[in-house]
Amino acid sequence: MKKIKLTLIAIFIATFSFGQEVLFEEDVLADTLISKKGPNRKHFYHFFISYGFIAGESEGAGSDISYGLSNNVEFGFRYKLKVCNFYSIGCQALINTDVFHLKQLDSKTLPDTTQYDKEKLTNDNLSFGVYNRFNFGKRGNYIGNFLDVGAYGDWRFYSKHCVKDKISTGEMVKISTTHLNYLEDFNYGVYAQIGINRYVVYAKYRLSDIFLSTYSYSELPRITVGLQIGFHK
Amino acid sequence: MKNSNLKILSKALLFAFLLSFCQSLFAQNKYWVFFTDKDGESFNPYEYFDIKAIDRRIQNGISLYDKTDFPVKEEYINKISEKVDSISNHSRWFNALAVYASENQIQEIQSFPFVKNVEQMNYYPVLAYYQADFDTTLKSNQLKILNRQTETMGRKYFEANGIDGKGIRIAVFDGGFPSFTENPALAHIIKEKRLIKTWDFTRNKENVFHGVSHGVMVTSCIGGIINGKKIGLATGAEFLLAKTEVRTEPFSEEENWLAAVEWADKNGADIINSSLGYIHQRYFPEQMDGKKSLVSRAANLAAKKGILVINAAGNEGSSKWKIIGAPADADSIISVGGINPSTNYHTSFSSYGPTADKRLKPNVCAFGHVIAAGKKGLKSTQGTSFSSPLVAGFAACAWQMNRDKNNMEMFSEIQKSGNLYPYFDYAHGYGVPQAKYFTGDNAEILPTFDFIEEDSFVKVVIKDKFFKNNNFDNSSVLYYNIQNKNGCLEKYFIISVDESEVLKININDYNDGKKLNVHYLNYTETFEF
Repeated sequence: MKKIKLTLIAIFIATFSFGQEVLFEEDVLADTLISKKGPNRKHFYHFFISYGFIAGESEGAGSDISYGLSNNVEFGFRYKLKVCNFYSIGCQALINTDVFHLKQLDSKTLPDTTQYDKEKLTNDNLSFGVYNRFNFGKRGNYIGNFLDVGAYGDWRFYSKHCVKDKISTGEMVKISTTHLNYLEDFNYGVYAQIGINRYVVYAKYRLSDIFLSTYSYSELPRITVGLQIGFHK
Repeated sequence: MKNSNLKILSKALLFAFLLSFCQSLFAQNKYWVFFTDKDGESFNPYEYFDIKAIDRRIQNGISLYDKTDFPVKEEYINKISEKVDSISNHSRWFNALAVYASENQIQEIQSFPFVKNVEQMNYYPVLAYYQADFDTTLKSNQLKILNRQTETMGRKYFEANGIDGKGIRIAVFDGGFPSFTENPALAHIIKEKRLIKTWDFTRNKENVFHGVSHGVMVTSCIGGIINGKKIGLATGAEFLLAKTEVRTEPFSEEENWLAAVEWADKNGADIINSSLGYIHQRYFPEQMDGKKSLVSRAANLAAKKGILVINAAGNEGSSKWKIIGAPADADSIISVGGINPSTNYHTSFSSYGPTADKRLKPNVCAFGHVIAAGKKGLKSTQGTSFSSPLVAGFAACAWQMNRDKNNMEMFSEIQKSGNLYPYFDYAHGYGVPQAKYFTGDNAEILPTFDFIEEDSFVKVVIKDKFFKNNNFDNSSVLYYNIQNKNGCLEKYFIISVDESEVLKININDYNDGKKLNVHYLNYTETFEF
């Protein structure tokens, strides 16, 4: 009780001691410090989100996919280290999901020859990439126009094979299979992207095979093309 | 549709998209090509200039045969036009051509002996326009703002002397003036034939009555009047309207601004009001020294030719950029910050000074939240875009009373008329310009506080008379700053005055010839540490 009383007295005294309210305050010295962080400063980092489509041909008849439906979604964090006004290096870490919608053709072999109403293969990956960035044109503290060329590695932490089929009773049956043992855990590839500030078009090419060599599945398309938006000014 | 057709279609669409993206990424750039000389060019000022421009030059002691007004050499224009895709504009002042060209073409051009240098053009300007409230009816608080936006500058003193900016020609550079000719708040300008000339620099046409309505609102804050209520002070001024900005076109604004400033000079403008600002897309804050950007140099050149250039400080106060942009950083132009009508001090979005080379900016301030005449009625709106025209209207009235003074003298006088003068800081400059300074209605300024040294402290104590009279309104806040021996501010504050002993500072914390400047109720005094 004594402590509470003392605290109240202290608050009362403090209220009167600091009666002059500071309505506005500016520290010029702090404001004029040149930051090392910024879109065209030494260090820059930002989040981004991407949506792309699987493109290119499957490497064999058994793994045909539906274009337009097969997609790639990414959410990542990118760091850029400015070397000079025209050149930067950087790295990025992201979570991405590849969804391959398989065409139900007589030639289908992935993962078996059974045909369904809908069938898809989903891979969720943790990805890490490094890149070179070439900037074009004069600019201030601004990302501007650029071309990135880089390489990436994916670690697949989750995969799912999912089919949907309408059975004779009219009901829809959905079967999901996880922990697919015919997929490689790691993948790698190269990528390039061109951007105008926060808006980016990217293309990735997977160099590694997606299926274990012990399985004779035809390789899925290796190219992904999409759009990306960087969360920065 | 067959799958193969779908594939082809999707590939074609993808290709078209990538192609258009690449085109925009690697498109031909726009450049300024500067020449070494204007040798052999002749110039007749009486054919080129409006009579008001000639009068202004004579009044300011500026030569009618200034080399910067001579035309760009036809021979150079012809040679450059053979090498580039197209020429979009030229600048007499900077002896330069604006061209569309590839990098290869530019390399070739740079080898010409008469080409001094080539600069890639600026882009992405930002209108110092914050946001609009589209209410068309005025509530009581809006009516109060409408009244106060000119009253705080001393409207009654100008009105009592019959001053309304008559005879002063104001050029307004903006993004468009739709409905200008039908707008009741601007009808007096049309009716009295005080809209002298217009030019759309984005299309090279005379019609400027299209585009964004920002220009209409800005002009109303210079000289609009509705139902007998003044929106701006210069209701008797003449106007030149230049459409210089296109939001969708990223390159042309700087070029248009340069062309418009020469056009305004040629057509006898006394004052230019502009709300343009270039910031991070092209520059770094440490480059805002008034010398780096072409628009800042052009603004300074306009000032050298006798024009009073007034520019919005910008709306970056709450953003990372924070400080003024170009051309508000130019040393010979009045940069105008914004204040909040509810507090009478800095409004959060108004850009701060100083310049990168530590000069005072903004120079003065005015309401940053105003009532302006929009396309379809009066509107609440905010931005230093509107603080600037309020000061432009004020400047026109002040200059009408002092036609013997040149633009830089007026620049200085307007600063001196600020309600904080000689106190200043980098948020308010010298404060809100006051008409009574020009009409001679200034009341005697009495000391309102004392500095009292006690041990190692200096205290600021409000005199009884001024503390007792304190009605706790916003005009009775106390401003103070710490100034270093180079004259630059290190810190500045505004505090409420709730006690007579309002401030206590440890002298040992400040040395090296630093000063404590304090302003309270029109009185400023300095304590030297």
